[in-house]
Amino acid sequence: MKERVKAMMEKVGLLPNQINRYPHEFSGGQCQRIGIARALIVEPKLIICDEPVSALDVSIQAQVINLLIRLQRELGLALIFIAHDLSVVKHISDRVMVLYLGRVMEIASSDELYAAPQHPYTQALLSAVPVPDPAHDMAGSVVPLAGDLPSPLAPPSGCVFRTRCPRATERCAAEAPVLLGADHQTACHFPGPLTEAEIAFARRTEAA
Amino acid sequence: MTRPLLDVRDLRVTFHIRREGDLPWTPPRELHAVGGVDFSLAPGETLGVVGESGCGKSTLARALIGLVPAEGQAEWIDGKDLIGLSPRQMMKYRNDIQMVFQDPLASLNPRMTVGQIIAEPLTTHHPGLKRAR
Repeated sequence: MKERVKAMMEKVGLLPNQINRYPHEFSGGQCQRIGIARALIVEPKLIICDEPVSALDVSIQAQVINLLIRLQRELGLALIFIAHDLSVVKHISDRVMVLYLGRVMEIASSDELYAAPQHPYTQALLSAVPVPDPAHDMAGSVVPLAGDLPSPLAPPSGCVFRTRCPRATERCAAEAPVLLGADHQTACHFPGPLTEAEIAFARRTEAA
Repeated sequence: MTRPLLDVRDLRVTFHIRREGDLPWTPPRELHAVGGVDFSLAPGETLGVVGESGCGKSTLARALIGLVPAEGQAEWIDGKDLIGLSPRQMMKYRNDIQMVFQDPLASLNPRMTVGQIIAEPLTTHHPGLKRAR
């Protein structure tokens, strides 16, 4: 058993001679490696990672994510990777599911979702991802969302996103959209890229 | 297409909320944290789940491993529905579905050594191995 634990520590990038140390002697990234080792030791088929890197420094995040990707390839694991950082999710995921108020808004392969988001919410979310380019006009490309997330105790009728959607109509209040499509599924009555006019409208409502 | 590892249909998690000031006979209010989620996951695939705080991401994860009660269907590759299993029945699947949490330090027992922490799931799921220590 001790051998198995040591082998697993080595696999996740910990030193096997640290086996008798206590968690407080480790850094955040190392602790997360311990958590991963603990999950892997029983040889699972699926690992659910709930914001595994959100508490870590950015430089450590990349190490832990690359570790997860490597282990996944080696062991053939399935992963459900939960995060609010879209660039992290893009890097690791085959497919991405976008949730809003407990409902699926859009689900597609990661390449497709990032290249051609169809749901207005996904578009707003993606526009908020920082672009590492000083020439990029951040203020000009962000689709702002007016207001706050509605209370889940009293969700809006019809489409739950309609209260903040620049494209909402009466139909959206009356009827909840169902998830449609084959590989790229969207729950929206009026999917498709937002037009300049709609983005400008969203910006005015947000400022008001 | 190969059989999915996990096939989730219309997964719902509802919390019953009582607020301060509610009278004992006021019915609790219903909060639909997850309102009908469908997806399937192939073996070896990575599914990313995104959304702002409070959209039900973590609740969805907890529902799948039975940490919060849920309704709907979540069919594992062997054809078994994971929703509504008794804790005893769930044990078998707890081995196959593991979870990694957000706060690494808070999710580790400070009184156990790293070796004990990593070995603990092994002794839980495979008690026979204990002897071989």
